[in-house]
Amino acid sequence: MKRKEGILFILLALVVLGAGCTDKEQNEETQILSISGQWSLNNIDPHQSGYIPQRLGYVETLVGVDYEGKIIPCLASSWEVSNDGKKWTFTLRDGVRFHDGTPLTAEIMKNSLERSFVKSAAIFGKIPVTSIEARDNQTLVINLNSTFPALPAYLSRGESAALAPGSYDGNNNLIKPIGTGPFIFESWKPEEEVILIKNPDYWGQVASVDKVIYRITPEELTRKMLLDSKDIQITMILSPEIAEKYTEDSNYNVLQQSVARVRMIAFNAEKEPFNDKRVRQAVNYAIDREAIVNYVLHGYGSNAAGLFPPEFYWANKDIAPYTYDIEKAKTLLNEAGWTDSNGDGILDKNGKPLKLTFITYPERAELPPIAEVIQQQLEKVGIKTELMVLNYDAANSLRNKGEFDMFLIGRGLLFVPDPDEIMMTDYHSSGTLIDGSGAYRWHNDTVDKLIEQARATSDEAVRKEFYDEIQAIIVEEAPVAYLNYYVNIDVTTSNIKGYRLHPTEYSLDLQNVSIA
Amino acid sequence: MMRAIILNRLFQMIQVMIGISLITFTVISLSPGDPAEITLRATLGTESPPKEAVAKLHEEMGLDDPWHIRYLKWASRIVHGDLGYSYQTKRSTLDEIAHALPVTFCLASFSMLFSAVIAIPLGIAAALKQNGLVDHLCRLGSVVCLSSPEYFVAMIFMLIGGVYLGILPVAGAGGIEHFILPSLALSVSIIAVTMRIMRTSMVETLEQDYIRTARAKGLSRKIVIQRHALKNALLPVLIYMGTQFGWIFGGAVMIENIFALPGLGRLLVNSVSSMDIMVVQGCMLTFAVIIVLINLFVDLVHLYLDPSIRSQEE
Repeated sequence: MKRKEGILFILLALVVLGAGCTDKEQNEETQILSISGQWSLNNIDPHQSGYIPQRLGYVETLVGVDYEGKIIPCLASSWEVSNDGKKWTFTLRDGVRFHDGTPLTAEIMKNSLERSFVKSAAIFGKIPVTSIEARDNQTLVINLNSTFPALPAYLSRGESAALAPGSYDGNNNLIKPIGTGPFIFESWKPEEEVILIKNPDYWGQVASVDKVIYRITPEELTRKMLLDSKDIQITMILSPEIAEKYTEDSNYNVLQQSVARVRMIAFNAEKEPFNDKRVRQAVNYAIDREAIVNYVLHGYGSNAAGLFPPEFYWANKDIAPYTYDIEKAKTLLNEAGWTDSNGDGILDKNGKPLKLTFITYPERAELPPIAEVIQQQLEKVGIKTELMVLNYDAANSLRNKGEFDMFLIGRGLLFVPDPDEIMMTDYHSSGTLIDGSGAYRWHNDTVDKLIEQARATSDEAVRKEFYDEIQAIIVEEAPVAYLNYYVNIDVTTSNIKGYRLHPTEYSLDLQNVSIA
Repeated sequence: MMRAIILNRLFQMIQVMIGISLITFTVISLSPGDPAEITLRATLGTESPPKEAVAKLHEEMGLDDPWHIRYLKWASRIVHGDLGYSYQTKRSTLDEIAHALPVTFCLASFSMLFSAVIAIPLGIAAALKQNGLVDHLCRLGSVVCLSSPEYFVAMIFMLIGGVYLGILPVAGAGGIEHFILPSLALSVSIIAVTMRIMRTSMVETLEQDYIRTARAKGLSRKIVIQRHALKNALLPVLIYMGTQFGWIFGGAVMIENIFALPGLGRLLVNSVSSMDIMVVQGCMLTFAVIIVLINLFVDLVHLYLDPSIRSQEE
């Protein structure tokens, strides 16, 4: 008798649950896209944290970034720069309206830009701006006191987004972000979620989904489980070992994209042995990059030849990568005077063995294992390294004091999508002689001159030529050894169409995403 | 008497707060790296934030002063009721904590509830039939529970409750249902210990003279246990659980991160990793106050439940 009641109860429960499910399906006429990543929206004000608002698409900037990392029109349909490079004239796109219906005018854009230059002075402080004027309704002029070709790249940062006057109160504090993007900001809970609804009056491609929920989930395994339980349809940034499990499963799609971040070794070019170009080149030849990608990165990574991944507009695509060539490495080391005179397997010169300090940090989890592999590879050519894994700040302070020989780092390349910044801090002597994150105490007059020439002109094609030449020289002179580029891996359920990863992580372009 | 205890504890709280804040401040100040640079690295998303911006924030944060001066400046703000603001989010520390505290409080309360509901009956059952099947299973269970790392337990619960059965949300905040899995995961190790304490305490109580007397009087076993043994046996358990409430707040650090709950633990982790000193201090002070208050509460309950202490003190 009791057992029968039990079974009845379970059946009843199932019926109730089943009813619950059908209810849900009926409500799903509004299509909801749930996506989860680890990034938290620090501040509701896009002028203070613009990265997420821009990626999710509720704010837009004057210019955009395409899938090659090149600057393209967005809210400005075109722009031109005066011959002296000090006056930039932007023509605003016709018919753009904010989410509250206000039309976008040059006056509003000017006020919005001025506000963002103050609120995010840390980013925009570098722009030598003297004044911004609204010449007429559609024309915005930015006056500079010196040439600054990276201006459009800076204006693609989310912090410079156009916000409607109704977004802020009399004290200039943000009430609610009212932008122009394909999605409308609906609500936000710090460290939890951001909710957006579709903007039916968008000037470009109108979104297919009605609502987007961005969920902040710091732990990668939790994001995986959210995906497994179908709570979300897109999970951003999984590590290769987790993503691998989805590659065979037809219910999921695994997407990968090289991004503007390179894993590289910086050499201490100030002292022996790396003050000798031949030794730097020898290390480049002694590293088996293929093995690192295959065995440490599970195949998710692409070998680096030059500074930028080849998909990027700014990359010099003709650079030949250093091949894995132990003999060549040995020859170069011998030429530089390093021989194994006492037969202990470690090279030496004037009685001093070739023992190097190799530093990296664990905040990027894959760096220490990569360093261990390199350590073994270098041993094959007779270079002994002592590996030190310290937290980023401790590692960096040793670097700044010059107490290292090799430093393995994951270096972000495009703080703004323009090469000037990274070239100045990492390869121009004004950066390498102080605390940069690239080449260390390395100085090359030709490179310095070319970088300066590239920043003196605003003609994109001319600048590209300069930067191509610079990249080639850097690879030849080898103040650093490029290993491979970071690859972002996102996984979606198979009913998601049109989702694409952006190499500069500029936008998720969710307006192109549909749920089948 | 009661008032003396309360006053004493409040005085103690001030000492604890000074001690905790001093230690936190020192540790953070002595760790490598420039907090201004670390802050900008996090907010701007780059390894090498612009030098000028770093210099400016360095000044804003008053980092040129030696650390003890900075501590005194901070302390004088606190005395005036100003907890400062977060360099990361630009919101006030008070806002941040007010937003996070309820989440952690719910989490801790549910964990306590689960441990009480699960551990107490099992502990009693084990004590009533020593070396019986239930007793053995409980012993085994508590060893397993105690030796499973929290992270692992959390993942297992998430997998079973959220993914395989699909009846509970995997992660995130929201309604009560969002708290079930994390609270269970958090209560596992407490259940293990509470169960053992409950058992031992019950066994001891049952051997007391007054229990034998009650039985000799002719009262049934059931009534003796319910009326006489239980109340006395529960006392050590309640005290243990009380002190664990504070511990749960600590355990919340990891659980909140895994379950993506916007609580105090997550706030602390985020602010420590970005050296957001005022928020770190705010969190630590909140933890300190809560733990002192809980201990006070436990003492008062103890006083109320155990008349022998009352008469002693008088």
